[in-house]
Amino acid sequence: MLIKLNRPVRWWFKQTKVARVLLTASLVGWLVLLYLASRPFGVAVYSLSSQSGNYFIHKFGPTERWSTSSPDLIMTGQPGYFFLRPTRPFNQAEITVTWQDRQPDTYLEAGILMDRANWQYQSQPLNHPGLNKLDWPLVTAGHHRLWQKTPVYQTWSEFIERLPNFSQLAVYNWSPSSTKSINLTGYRSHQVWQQLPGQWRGLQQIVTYLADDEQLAWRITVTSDSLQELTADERLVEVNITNSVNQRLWSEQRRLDDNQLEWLITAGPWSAGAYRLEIKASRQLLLKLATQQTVFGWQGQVWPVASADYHWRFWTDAPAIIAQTIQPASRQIILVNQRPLNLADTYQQYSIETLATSSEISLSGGDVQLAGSGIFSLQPTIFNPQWRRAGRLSVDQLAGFDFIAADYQPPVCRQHLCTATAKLSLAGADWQSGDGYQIMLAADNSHLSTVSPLVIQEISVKLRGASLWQFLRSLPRRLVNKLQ
Amino acid sequence: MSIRRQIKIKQLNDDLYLWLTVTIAVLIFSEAVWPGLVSAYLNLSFWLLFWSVSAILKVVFVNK
Repeated sequence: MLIKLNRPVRWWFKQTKVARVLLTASLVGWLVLLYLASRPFGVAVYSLSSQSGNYFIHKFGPTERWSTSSPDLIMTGQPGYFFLRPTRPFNQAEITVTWQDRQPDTYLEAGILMDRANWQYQSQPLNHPGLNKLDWPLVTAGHHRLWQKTPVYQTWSEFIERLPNFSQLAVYNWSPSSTKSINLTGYRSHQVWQQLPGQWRGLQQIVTYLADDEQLAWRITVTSDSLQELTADERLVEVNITNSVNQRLWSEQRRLDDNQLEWLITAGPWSAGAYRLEIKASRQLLLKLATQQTVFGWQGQVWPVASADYHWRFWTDAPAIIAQTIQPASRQIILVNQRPLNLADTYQQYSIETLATSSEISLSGGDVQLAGSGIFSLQPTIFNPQWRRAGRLSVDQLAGFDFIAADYQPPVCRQHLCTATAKLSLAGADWQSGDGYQIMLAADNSHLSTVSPLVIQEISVKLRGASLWQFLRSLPRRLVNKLQ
Repeated sequence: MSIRRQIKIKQLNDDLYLWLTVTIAVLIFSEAVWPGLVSAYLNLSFWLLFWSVSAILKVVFVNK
């Protein structure tokens, strides 16, 4: 053994002084690389200011939404994406964006892809011009802010204890953990199946009302219209039922066999109130829905599909509606409160603002995705147990409420340059092999174009995770968990 | 050129070649064990090209 150890030592001393100096320099360089890759103190900062990217922040896309005439970070469309690729796991990413002030001001959010099959992002605000311009009396507590048209609450905790009515409050990036119990007077359940028209594409977030002793009963038939073979993730359908405080009451997963799945979902009964049925399905899947519930609506978005001659009518309380289609045959002029909205191109988002608390949407055929911060209903009576969301509302639209509550830090602006930070949790985020985490920069309602782009000066990402010492301390626990 | 000077140049060349070979071997091994450790900061292809050129030069000119 000693002889074996002596061999490299003898080899080392046989080398010339020059070789020894060079090899020592290489060893020092390698140790520096090891330090940079492992970040033993648990913090790493990466930044860049051009589209060419670096190892850590790279692959800006899609190309048509970034300026091709300049290497600078100029967004001409939205949302834009890039990948974040740290050399080791971290828990949190603080994404700081510095951009040039523009007119009109930009609603900016940063998000991280959580679920690739359903394209679900966890987003955090960077800039909300509506809130920035709101000059109402303000109560702050940490990151939480409460704007009051007329001062009622002195402190944030007082506001939490005595929440205002549903119609008075709009929330942004935050919602109260305790909600008022909802009881629909005069509601009577009747256990008759009703088949919903057409089919429904992808993710369904359905809010429904259940009476005491009423079971949640939905029947779904899932098929696919994809020409390509579905991946394992795309064949997966997950159903979650949560209550009004977002506690999961029921969850189950199933997979499509031979491109078909029949599923009778019955759960409950629970106490009377609002419940959310989430059907997580990829965009390649089409769902036929039947239910025994009579009061329900789609939260946030709805994507109906039917033959070209079918005429859809929806009602929504969303103050702004975004519509898009991915099918050339589904390009059409839809009507929102009799106002036309021309879906002229595929993969292009078109939006229309309505200040009404209820808007009627008419469209033909389908395969048109409708989105907005509200409920989409097949009936004129909209059941919305959620607090109204401030989303991308303008200052005029926000003035329709008495209180605005948000978890939001306005950007710091100096000399036409604004800087804001979004904290995103990396736990459970989707990691794409070779590329890393997908980060989205969304600027909805901001009308980005080549003549009015968003010029980003710098993107900086501060990553926080376990330090080397914390990692070493957790090793025995990890080993025990693995053995169990 | 004197023999002594030629020996000195040959020795320096051997030293540089040894350094480059050992370094590139360590870097490739490190990258294989921990993807991103090296490629995040250094262009490995450039180093490999540099090593290949030096190997060819050594065989063609110096070992003569």
